[in-house]
Amino acid sequence: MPDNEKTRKALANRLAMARQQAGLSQGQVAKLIGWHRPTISEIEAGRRSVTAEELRKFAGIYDVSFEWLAGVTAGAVSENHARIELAARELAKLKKEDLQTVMDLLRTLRNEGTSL
Amino acid sequence: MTRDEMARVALRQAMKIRERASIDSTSPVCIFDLAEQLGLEVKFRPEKSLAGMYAKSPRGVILISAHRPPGHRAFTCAHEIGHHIFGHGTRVDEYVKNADKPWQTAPEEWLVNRFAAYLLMPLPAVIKAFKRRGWVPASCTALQAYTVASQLGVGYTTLIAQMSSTHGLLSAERADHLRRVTPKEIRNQVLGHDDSRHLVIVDQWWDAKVTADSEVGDHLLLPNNTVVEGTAVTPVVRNDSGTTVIAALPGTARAELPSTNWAIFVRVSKYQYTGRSLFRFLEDPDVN
Repeated sequence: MPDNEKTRKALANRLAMARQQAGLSQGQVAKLIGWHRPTISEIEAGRRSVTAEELRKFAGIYDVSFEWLAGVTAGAVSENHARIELAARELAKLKKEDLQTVMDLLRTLRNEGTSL
Repeated sequence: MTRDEMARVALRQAMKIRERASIDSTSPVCIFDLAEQLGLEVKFRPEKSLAGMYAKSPRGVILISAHRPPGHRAFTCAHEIGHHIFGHGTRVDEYVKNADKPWQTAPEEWLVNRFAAYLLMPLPAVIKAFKRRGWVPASCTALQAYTVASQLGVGYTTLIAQMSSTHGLLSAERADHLRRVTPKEIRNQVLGHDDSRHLVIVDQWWDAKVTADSEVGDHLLLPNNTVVEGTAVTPVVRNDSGTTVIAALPGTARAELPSTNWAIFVRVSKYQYTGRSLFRFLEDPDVN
């Protein structure tokens, strides 16, 4: 697979993951953005490229950082991870693997407030 | 700080938050919407061992397990709002380092639990809910307590605990008596059959400002002769206790009593919805 195709696939996977994480179906996203549903499935299949502006739109709806979505934060992950401050209800019961997936989620998030 | 002082701080902060969101002390509150009004992002999560979490940084985010009962989720959200308001939070690296030690100090947890209870069930809201229906808190029945808990969006036993130990509206004996009746028994009594899914009791005393929130598969008991518009719920049975509908699809339905001015919105999310709270009641063209 050529490099640019690999990159597109990786981006497509992140887009699909972020959408599911946000609780949205492809149809719901299409409706929110005002696109046809097949456009979303084409993008998530890696068959259609995405502009930076479109990526920003997705990042806003999915509540993830543009950098994470664009795949430019890989090196900073562990540092960000340690900086996260949290408090939890019934924390003692939280299993290690569940803490891990929660941390994975938190590091995808945007730093600034939410707006669509 | 003594417990009494902490309780006063918790009450004061809870009332301040209601004020900030323009919700008076007698009204029920949708705690998830309130969190968003405060600028917090709320997400429902699939992790089963997670009850709730507040991440202070990079920015205020509340995570709530999708697997807990609705009342538990609401209380957890209020609890996490408390951590936000009181500025609690520990760095994850310290948490991981001290994973085997008790991480959080008990006073912080006690404080935010009190805060959560006051935020969801302040005394004026509890009293008003009983009074407007002509019910007396001290001698209320299990069904009456369940109805009030439905409107306040809290669990049945959570309301009983708050009425008895915090508000002094119920004697310990009466509270014990009510606790012996399970929510399941109340559901069976209302629906006339055994059902494990949640039941929301909505009566004519519900304010139009407050939505009736449910998940696909939940039952809602609405006043007799209620007319429902929208595909989110399907009517199943009309009997003496009212019109029972089932939450069928994500979205919003409108329920009204013809020839009165009573109407409310019924909001439905997927069963055990995971995702941003913001989108939980969004209609889904892929399903609807």
